[in-house]
This record gives sequence, C-alpha cells and structure tokens, in this order.
Amino acid sequence: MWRLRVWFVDASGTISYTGAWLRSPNETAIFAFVNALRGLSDAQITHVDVLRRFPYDSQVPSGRDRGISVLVHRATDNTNTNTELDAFPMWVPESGIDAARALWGYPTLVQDYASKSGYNIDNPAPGDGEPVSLDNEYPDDTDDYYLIAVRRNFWHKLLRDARAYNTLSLTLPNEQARRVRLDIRDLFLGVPMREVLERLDRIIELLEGSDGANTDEIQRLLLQIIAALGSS
Amino acid sequence: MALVADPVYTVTYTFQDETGSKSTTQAYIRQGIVIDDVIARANALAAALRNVSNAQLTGYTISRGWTEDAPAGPGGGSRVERKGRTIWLADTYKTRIDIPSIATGQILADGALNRNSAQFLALRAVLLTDFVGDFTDSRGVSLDALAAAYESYTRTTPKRQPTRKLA
Repeated sequence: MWRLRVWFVDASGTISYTGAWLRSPNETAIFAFVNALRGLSDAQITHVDVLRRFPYDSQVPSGRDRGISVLVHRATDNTNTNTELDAFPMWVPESGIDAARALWGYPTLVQDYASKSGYNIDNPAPGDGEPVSLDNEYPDDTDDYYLIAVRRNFWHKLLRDARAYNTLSLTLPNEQARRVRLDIRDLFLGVPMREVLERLDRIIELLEGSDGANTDEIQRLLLQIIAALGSS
Repeated sequence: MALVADPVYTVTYTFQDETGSKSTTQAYIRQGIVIDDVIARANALAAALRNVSNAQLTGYTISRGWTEDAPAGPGGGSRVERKGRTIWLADTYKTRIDIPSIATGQILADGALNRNSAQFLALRAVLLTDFVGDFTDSRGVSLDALAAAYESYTRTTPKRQPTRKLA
C-alpha cells in the first residue's frame, strides 16, 4: 500500500501530518483528499508526499568496509552537450569505484532516470568519484594542498569542535571545502579509529613527498590524538 | 496557491553490510510515466546496484512529493495538537485519520465532529464514494464506513516543535 502524508504547520510553527493509505498513487484522489482537509483544518498545508516501500531479495552481505563511492552524474542539455544542467552525488555502499562508475553502463538503465532537478540523464557522463573514505582514492597532491594545510592546523580542533572546522571550510575553494565537509560528516557518522589513523598516516606520506613539510608537527598531533582518544 | 509536483520520483535504496550497519543511496526517475514503469525502473536499478555492491540491498522506497507554492499561512490560534479524530471501517477493521488543527466550527458542543457539515461530507465522499477502492486501510482493504468522529488532543512531539522558542 502507498502511504499518503499531508503536512501541516500551525500558528505556533508546530508541524504535524496526517496520513492515509492508498492502493495506488492516484493524483486525482490525492488532491481531492487534500482539498477536503483544507476545508476542515485551520492550519496551513505545506506539502504532500506519497511513498511505498518495496522489499528486495538480495544477496547475503559480505564485507564491512565502508567503501562508499560517490558518483556525480551529469545531466546535459540535448541541444548543447557542453552545458551541464545538473549533477548529483550517488553513493554505492560496499563497492569498488570502477564498478560503481560503470553502473550507468548497464543497458536497461539510462532512459527515464533523472537528476534531482528533473533533467533526464540521457547522456550520462560520470564525473570523477569523490570517495568518502580517503584511503579509497586520493587526488593528487596539488588538489590536497589546502586540505593538508587545514588538517595540519585544525584536525585536533576538529575532534573537539567540528563547527570551527566547518567555519574554516567556508574560506576554502569549493573543491577543498567540500572535502572538508565530507570529513566532518564522516566524523559525525562515526568513522572507525583505524580509518582516522590511516588518514593521518596518509597525510604524513603526502607531506613527506613535498618540500617544506613539517612532519614532526603532524606526528606530534597524531600522538596527541591517540592520547586524547585513549583517555576518553 | 497550489501544490506543485516535484519533478522526479525519488527512489531510496537501503543497504546493509555484514555488521548490520545500514546505508542508503538515492536515485531519481522523472515524473510523467505511469507508476508501473517507475517501479520497473527502480527494480532494474536495484538489480544493477546489487551487482556492484557486496552489501545486501534490503529494499527501496519510491516517493513523490508536492509542495505548496504560495502558502497563505496558518489561521490565527490554530494548534495542530487539536485533532479531529476520524475512525473509518474497512471490512470491520478500524483505521484512523486525524485532522490536525480541526476548525473549531466543525466541533459540536459535546466534542463530536459535525458529520453533516459541507466540509465533513466532502471528506467522507472522497474516502468512501468518489474514489471507490483507492483509499484503504494498511492491509489494502477499501474503506467502507465511518465509525467515529470526535475532537481529540495529542501532545507535541519534540521533533515537531517550532524552531523558534515562543515567549
């Protein structure tokens, strides 16, 4: 059955919804129901949604690496393929990047899939994946110059106050700022400590490969983090 | 003031790994095709996702939404905790549809809702006669009668409270 929800807000700003069950998402019936509610309630109807859950018989899960790949699919203008109308991220848990990138290559898939804004994905051109786990794939050192600088100075603060890190991300170029925000989200999601340490190891590796890297400072921070986490 | 449809159906896929951790990913299917085709597309993509992931794909949810483009605003004194509680029968089983902030003009002196008002008769017609078979209970059995209609109060849940704090 489809679950129809009609959302209300009252004079105080408090939100509520009412629901009904539908055999199919018949738009005419939905609108008639909403109009009937309008006549009975003095609150404001803000939006309506209808949804249905479909169970799926899949394989037994294997593996527990986060391994989430983020894809950006470009929806392009048919008349001018250089114009990118919309793009959106898509995560595929427990997947390799190459496999996830090939997702839209499956023959039956392309038609009628759309971006979030409703543009058809009729010319899929997967952009570079943006891995959530930094150990999956790390862009070149140049791209990460800003991120390394941020981490060197703020990673220890991040563990105490993610908001400061987020504020800092506002001062960075878009690409680096996005990676910073992904890191913050990862921390809120509870990234395993092993992964945090691997990231720090990777930072040190990158710094060792560049001129003027202050690896002593990073190692000091790493030890601080380990000590802080060990005592918490 | 009208409800404007979102441009797409949103399909949310749920995965679970061997530790039991769950994750979701979303894809979008344009509107304008019949719902059976939307389900077919969602199912095809589910098969593809299953093939590229080691996690278990436990299911997916298809949703569609409409947003009020120019809300006039709630009526003065409206409170969503004041419900118009309506109980409907579906082959002797009961199902409930609450109406948040029921208009006070719909409430009789004894606390019952006025079943003979034009507004209430309109709701009754939508659920029972105008779209026969469309509105059901959670088991999928069509609604066939009204069992009760009265005023009721509920508490405000924390997640639904306004973001601003009232003085």
